[in-house]
Amino acid sequence: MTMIKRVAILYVVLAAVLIVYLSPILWLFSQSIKRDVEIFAMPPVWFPTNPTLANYEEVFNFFGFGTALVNSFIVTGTTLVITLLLSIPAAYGLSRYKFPGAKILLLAIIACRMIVPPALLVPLFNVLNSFGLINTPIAIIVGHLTWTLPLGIWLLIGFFDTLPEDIEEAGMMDGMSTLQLIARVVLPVSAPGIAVVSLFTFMTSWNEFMFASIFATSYRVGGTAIAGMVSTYKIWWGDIAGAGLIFSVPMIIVAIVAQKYIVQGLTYGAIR
Amino acid sequence: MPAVAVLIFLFLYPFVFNVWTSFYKYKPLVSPERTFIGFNNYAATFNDYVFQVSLKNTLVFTGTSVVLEFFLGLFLAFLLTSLPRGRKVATVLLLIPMLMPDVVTTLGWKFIFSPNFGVLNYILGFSVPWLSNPTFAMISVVIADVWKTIPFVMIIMVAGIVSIPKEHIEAIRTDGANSWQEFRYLTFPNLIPFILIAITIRTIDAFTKVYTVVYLLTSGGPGIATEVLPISISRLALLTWDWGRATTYSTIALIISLIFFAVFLKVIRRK
Repeated sequence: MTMIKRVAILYVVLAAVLIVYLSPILWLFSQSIKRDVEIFAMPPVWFPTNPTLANYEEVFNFFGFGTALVNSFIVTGTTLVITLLLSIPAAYGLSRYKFPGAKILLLAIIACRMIVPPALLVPLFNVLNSFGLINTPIAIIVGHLTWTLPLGIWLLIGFFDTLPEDIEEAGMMDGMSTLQLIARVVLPVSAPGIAVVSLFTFMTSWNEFMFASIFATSYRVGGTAIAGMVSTYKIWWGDIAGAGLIFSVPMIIVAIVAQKYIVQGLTYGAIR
Repeated sequence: MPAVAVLIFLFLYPFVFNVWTSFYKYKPLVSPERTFIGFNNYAATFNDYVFQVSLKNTLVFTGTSVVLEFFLGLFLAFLLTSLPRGRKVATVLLLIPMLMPDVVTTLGWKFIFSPNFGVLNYILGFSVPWLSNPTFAMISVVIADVWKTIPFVMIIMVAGIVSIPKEHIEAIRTDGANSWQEFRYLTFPNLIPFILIAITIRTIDAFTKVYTVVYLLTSGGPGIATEVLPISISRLALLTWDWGRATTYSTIALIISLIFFAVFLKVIRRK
């Protein structure tokens, strides 16, 4: 009896926690299917009387959120491809060939993750501007790479270090070049490591706001488009809620699909 | 290796640029000329009231939010791991705030805090000046940030709790330990490395990456009540265009980050 009682209490606590903790998101959803009259009503209208998808339509028709979403996919996709293309060989090299200064380089790599991102604003702006790249997706991508590349290399070094070297020796006997070795022998067994890096590159780039809002005011990605719905004379709450929920979906799906890699990525591989 | 070249561009160049420019008077919009002024920028920065407040705010923000999210995350982790069924679904639901873009959740909170249309004051039954009072503005920023980062601590702590071998738990129970003794002598010692990792990473991230929440919620205001270093740097860099001063702030922030980084290295070695 007491056992059943304890379990019952647990689930009551869990239910209470879920309701309180997720209420801001439920509220966001409720706001997204209301018209302005009910959004700004006081006392608040908890459940919309006439649910409407008008906000969702407006987001695409009036704010051009479709383009912003496509831009987000372009930026995130490119960042992901470049991060993988550069971090896999770099991490492999650092893991397999111990050359002088390798250790310092390794420390410098992870130190990149600890930098205050705005400290990169002036130097990166300076370079991007001299190449005329401000207000292009490239500016945002370069900004994102400053976060994803060090993280990717660091995570993959940790992963490659755990791989036995025997399999590669067999490949070398067959006279493969280093790149062939990576492509045919190392990559197939590295799927989990690559999954961790991809998950975090995706989440970082999709979520990032500072570089996107400062380096490219006219090239709008999802986050900057939503922030743009706040203007000095009006805040389009219904549209922010609608666009915000749409914008959240890819990130939530990717993270849930790759759930088992979350802990490893969150802790830079410190916990496996 | 191309990656090394890219890294040098992405890391070494900004680093050198920051340190080097911080010794110059350099306002690119006023004149392209740089005048060497030695440590003058540093002297001015340390005497600058905005810098002092900004540094203090960043530390206050980091301290409060890390402590709060740690205990709340730990509580949720214990709740999750004691569930006989439905743990997976509950975990996914509790992760969602972390998995939504910062822009979305921050603007959501902005509406909840709103003085005229916000539900929070309505639920409380009295009017709290959430975003307009200096103290409450900082509390609002902390709430919005803690809410988003609890799942981070939670999921690491869950990993820690599950890593304790079942046999050890059974053994300590057959020895007649009560639940406090079980926590004190088995659970807690096993969690220490996980706690250290969660806290160090959160401290570094709270200190260095507090941009979006503050920018969208209060923009550092009212006045400079919620001004934090990342906001100050971006303002000096691309609003006032005082690059000499901006790079000085950056260099100081870099040095503080490197101290955190040294702690992080110590922590992961310990594990």
